[in-house]
Amino acid sequence: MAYLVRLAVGVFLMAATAVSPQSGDKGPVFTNDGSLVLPSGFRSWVFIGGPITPNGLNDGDAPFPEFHSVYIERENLRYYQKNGKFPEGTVLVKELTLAQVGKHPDGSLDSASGRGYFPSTLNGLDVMVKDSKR
Amino acid sequence: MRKVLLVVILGLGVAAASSLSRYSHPVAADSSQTTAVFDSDGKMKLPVGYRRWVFIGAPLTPNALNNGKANFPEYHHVYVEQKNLDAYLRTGAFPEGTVIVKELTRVLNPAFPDGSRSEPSGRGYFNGEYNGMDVTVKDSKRFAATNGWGFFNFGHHPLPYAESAKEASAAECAGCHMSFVAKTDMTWVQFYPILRDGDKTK
Repeated sequence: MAYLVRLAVGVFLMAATAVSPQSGDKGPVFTNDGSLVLPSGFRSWVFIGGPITPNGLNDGDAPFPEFHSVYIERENLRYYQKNGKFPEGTVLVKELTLAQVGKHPDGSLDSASGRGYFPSTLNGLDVMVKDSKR
Repeated sequence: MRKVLLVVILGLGVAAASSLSRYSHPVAADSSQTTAVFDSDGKMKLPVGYRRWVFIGAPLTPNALNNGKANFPEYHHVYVEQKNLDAYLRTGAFPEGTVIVKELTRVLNPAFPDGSRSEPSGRGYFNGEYNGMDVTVKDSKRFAATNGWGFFNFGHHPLPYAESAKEASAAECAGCHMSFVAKTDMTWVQFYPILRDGDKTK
């Protein structure tokens, strides 16, 4: 019986994930072996900032040679703004985006809007999960 | 008992799939609605709720790399509503009524002559304070003279932004878009991977 309940939850999650990742997960999902399932729906979360540490400013070998676009669910952002800390279960997604390579030594590019750094292609995801017990 | 439960479980899965799929495919009629609000003088009201829209990219033109005075200082955070993004990815053009918001932030406390600073993640640029907003609205009739898009500047300065803005002249905004990106619906898709490549995270 307990097995069937777990199965029910699993089928529901699989269906939801497969069909509508845009709908936004509530909290992290882990597999049986403890791996975190790729968060989905984060594009409809709140974007909170995008630092960039280009290779051209880090001796050609930046730890994160990209824009770091960071997303958080609205309810967790509100909680943070109110309490100064994130609630249990908060997921922070950092999506990386390569910068277009310009002709300047620092890697910056001349564009119609000025000289600077411009996104190129999406290049990975780092995720943080808050769980004080786990 | 087990058999009945299995049927219920499978039914639940199908129900979840079908109910959630409705949210992932916006109704076509939605995409013709606009969130742009104009007053009787034709000024556009400051858009609200855009932090719930989809963030599509953040070009960065630091003042320090632009003779101390960038045209758009300095990060450009660009947001578009989900329904309009979906329509663009489906058709290659934004629907009538689309509003695109570009919010600016300064870079955080420059430490080097190029405006960058060092943090544990490396030397680069980090977001400082909010610094203004530019908005474009697609309305082929209203803005026929500027290729179907109107341009509005709500100030390039810290919060609060202007409550309303008159349409910017073609020389201020539209001219550059018409010269460089008229063929991609007046939008610099080359700098926005989600527009250019699609969103493969779906």
